[in-house]
Amino acid sequence: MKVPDLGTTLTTSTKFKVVDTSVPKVDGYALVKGKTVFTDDFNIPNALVVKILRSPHAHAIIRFVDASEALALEGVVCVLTHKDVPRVAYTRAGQGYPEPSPYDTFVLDKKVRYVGDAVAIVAAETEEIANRALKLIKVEYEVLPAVLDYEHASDDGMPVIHDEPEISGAYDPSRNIASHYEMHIEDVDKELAKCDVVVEGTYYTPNPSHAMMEPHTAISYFDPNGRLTIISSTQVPYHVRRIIRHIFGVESRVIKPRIGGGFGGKQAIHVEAYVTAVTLKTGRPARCVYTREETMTATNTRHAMRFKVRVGASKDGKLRVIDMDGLSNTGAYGEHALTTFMVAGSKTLPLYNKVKAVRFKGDVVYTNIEPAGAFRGYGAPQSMFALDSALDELAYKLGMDPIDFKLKNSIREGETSPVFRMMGEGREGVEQIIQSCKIEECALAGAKLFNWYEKKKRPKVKGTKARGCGVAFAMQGSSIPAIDMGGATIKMNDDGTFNLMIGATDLGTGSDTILAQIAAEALHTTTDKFIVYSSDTDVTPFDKGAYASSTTYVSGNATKRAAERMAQEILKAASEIMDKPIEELHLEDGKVISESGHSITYSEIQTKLFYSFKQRQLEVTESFVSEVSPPPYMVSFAEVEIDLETGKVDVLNFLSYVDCGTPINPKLARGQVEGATVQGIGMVLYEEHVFDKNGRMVTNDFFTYKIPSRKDVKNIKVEFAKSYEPTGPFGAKSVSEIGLDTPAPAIANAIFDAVGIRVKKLPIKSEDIFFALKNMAKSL
Amino acid sequence: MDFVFMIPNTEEELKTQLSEPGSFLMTGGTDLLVKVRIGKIKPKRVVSTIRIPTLHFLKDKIDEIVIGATITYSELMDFKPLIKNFPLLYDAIYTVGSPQIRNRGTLVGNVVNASPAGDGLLALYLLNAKIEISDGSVVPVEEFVTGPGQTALPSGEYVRAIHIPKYDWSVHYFEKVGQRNSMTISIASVGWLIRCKNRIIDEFRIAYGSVAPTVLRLRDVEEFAKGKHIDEDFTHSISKMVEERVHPIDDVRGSAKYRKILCANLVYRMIEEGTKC
Ligand SMILES: Cc1cc2nc3c(=O)[nH]c(=O)nc-3n(C[C@H](O)[C@H](O)[C@H](O)COP(=O)(O)OP(=O)(O)OC[C@H]3O[C@@H](n4cnc5c(N)ncnc54)[C@H](O)[C@@H]3O)c2cc1C
Repeated sequence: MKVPDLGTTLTTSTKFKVVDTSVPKVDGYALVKGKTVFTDDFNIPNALVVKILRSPHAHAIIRFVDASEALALEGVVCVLTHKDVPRVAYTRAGQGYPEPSPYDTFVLDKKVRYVGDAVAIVAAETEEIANRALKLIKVEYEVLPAVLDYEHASDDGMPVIHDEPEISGAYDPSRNIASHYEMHIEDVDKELAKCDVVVEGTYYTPNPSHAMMEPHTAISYFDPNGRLTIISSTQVPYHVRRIIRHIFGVESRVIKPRIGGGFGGKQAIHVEAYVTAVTLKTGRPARCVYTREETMTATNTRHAMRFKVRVGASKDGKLRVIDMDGLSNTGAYGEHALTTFMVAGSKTLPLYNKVKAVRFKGDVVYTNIEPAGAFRGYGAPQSMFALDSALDELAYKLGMDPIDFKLKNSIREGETSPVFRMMGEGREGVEQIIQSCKIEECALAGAKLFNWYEKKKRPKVKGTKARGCGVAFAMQGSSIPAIDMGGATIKMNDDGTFNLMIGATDLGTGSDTILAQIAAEALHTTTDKFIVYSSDTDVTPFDKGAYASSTTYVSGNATKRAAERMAQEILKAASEIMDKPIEELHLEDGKVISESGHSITYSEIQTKLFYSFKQRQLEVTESFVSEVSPPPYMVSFAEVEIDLETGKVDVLNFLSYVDCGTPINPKLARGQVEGATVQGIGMVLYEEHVFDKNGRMVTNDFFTYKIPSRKDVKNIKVEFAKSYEPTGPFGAKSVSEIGLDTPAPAIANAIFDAVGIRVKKLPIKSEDIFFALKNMAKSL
Repeated sequence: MDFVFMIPNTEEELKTQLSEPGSFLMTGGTDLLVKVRIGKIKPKRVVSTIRIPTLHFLKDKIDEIVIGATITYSELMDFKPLIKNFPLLYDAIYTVGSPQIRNRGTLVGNVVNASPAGDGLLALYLLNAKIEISDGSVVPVEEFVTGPGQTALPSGEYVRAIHIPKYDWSVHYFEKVGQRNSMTISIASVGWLIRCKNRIIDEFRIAYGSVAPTVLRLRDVEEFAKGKHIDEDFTHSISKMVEERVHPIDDVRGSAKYRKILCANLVYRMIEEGTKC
């Protein structure tokens, strides 16, 4: 294995000035003060309001659309149907090109494939008129039978959801199979026969919504020179630009302002195509802000998955087999279908690299519900629930403490797993040897801090309440190796500040801040000297976007490289100005200092370079693409209390011990893990979409779809292991997704510890626990 | 969603403005505005009560407290005689929504909204509260609420205040079971009041929320309880009676079966809670 050559960037120094400190977010004040920062805050004069007419049927052919009454309404400017937009197949997925997702989507189609699918685009002078127009459009549908149960989506005789001839990249659309994947190492059946203890189970995870605060929003307009400009609340501005060109054949500029959360929900193009269609048709600016109902019902959810798991071990606690047979529900369209399924394997299996035989296979199927897409964790939370729960059960059957069992079989520094090479995202992966892995510290220090061993010894039941503890292990990745690229530009100003221009998309995560910290560290100055601008496809360099836990690692490395080259440029200029050899100069506190004690500030250097001396603008651009994807690691401990009279579960304590390399900004890193824990608690205990028999989502608002509230989150603790990833910027790995991998298994394992019930289906409802308790009491 | 919004300053103005057809009263708006937004009601005009000084009062009398129509939950929770005399009501309204909702929402709104899940309403049922209407009549809350979302309020009239008679209870209990811990619509809720000595019941009241079209007072269970000793046998028999009397439905929150057994099970909290006499 080749360690990427980062030249002088490789440093193991852990004495940092700016990195590893919790500087305030560069955009924090603007956000809390309610400044005009979000897409919908942009006041583009004369903009039309765009609304989408959506299908009331789960599966239907559009016979015809009569928009004459709507068009007759004063203030309605256009109504576009499938006849008015290019018939170009594409995928909504914002991924590297060519995308591994099937091209199965049209801006508008003759067929609708779920309740909420787009039928027509309406543009009007005001929102009220647009809403009235929606009601005046008459659509005649030929309603088709729908596929609503994903476990039967590819049964014989099921209606075919994607029968359009243009579809490409799908595995077997005639059987509603969007993607298929299988791999194996050795023979699982043979190895299972040799095991002393075997555990089998079928696990289900649902399709929660991202529930980000800001709904999907986009504005499009022609700038004075006729260049199409799109402002969008997107995680992937460069992919939006590329997909818009693919569909409409137009060049555009995509601007991403502040984003009110995404969690993967904005790693797809949703609204941009609709406003673009209107601007191209009318020449006028167009604005579309999704309602909460649209955000819930007509964007993306997580992929619901089912895993049939078999794991086996020998008496001595050696894990010998992991066999996972999966089924994933991608809904009406296949954005991220194959890759989320592969990540379900590639970001879980290498954790247990001591195992002899592994198999991972399954289908991703189409159904007539809202399409699933990218969602924090990207398949790993689904499969980790299954795998970790099964391993916990195996440890229990072996009579081992789950911490001992999981530690005994998990990966360490200097080791590898064949899975790294076999499974990538939509294709083969890359080989890598793990250079930083503190999972042992995470498990042991975590257990101590959590009082694991004492808590395990306590009596479980007290009065009408039972308590229990669970532990879960996780890994993730840092970027998609050999695919994800990010760039950074640094420009020096005559006041000693720098413009840091990045394509990386801060969606509330704080990446603008940590990238400024990385640049400040490398340039021996402070974060406040950086004016961060992200992202604008006409101004900032390319970046793949915010996903796959890549920004800190990929965009961070690009920023570090750029800052280091800028440091060289500054030294070179100073050497000329001061007439001293570079070797005698070094950078310190925003100055160049010579061995003889002379110094010149950055401000003085650039001022001279502007006006009087070898005149030039100092500016550098660097980019980075990684050959590896170093995993962060984490061990989480949950303590739950169950009310035996109602079945209600409360998560009393949740501790996560994380190895994310150097946390560039500990407070923001902690925020990532805390946020993911809360989102995880939601996925485990509350969040469930309910559909009626016609496939309409009933839980389409926050009244019916419950995410955790402050009172549901008792005591969350996050600790960081001392760790340094040599390939990362100042030792950093990712921390954004991993926090969602552990809550489900940790809580489920804790419930087992408390009451002896193995919950294999999320969300875990009071009612299910209650009846399981009743059945247990009966059979005693 | 177009309507005229009016904020009268006196009860006379209120009466006149309310006489217009299509008018809706609003106090905190935490129920009304939700219904307007989802299109369940389409008002022509919304008349707010919140600037009328004569509706904004709290009275602590010898035998009752009187709560004016525009008193918010937050104001009520700060009203010392409430915690002292009606800890049950305090416990119930403490669970309503969130601080933001309690800063706007009112008990009167909760009563007129007449939801079987109304938390304040459940407490008022147990406390035999009376509703004072603008025509001068005073009606027991159980007669005032006639069905889900329905009341006996004559058209053109409004609620002026709520009267709650004082009474000494030895034990009070309120619990709301929801999947989530706040801002939740309960799967079921329960409350009881017990007057007892040496664990012998002198007087007993019990009510359930979210398991029937209106809040449900179980009078025959209350009668049965009189003179009984609070022990396991007693809770067991009550539990059985409860299971037969509640009629929950299947919905997003839980199955009817679960909710029925849940109601029966909640009675067992009495063993722990009911030892205080
Ligand atoms: C997020 C959220 C959470 C909630 N959580 C809970 C909860 O946990 N428990 C609970 O019980 N409720 C809850 N509610 C419902 C609501 O807050 C309560 O029912 C509240 O008491 C309503 O009071 P209000 O003053 O806001 O009523 P409004 O919305 O102003 O009015 C409610 C009804 O009463 C009528 N009305 C108002 N004033 C008068 C008057 N003086 N005379 C006659 N009619 C009048 C209105 O026309 C309307 O029909 C919640 C609501 C929200 C939005």
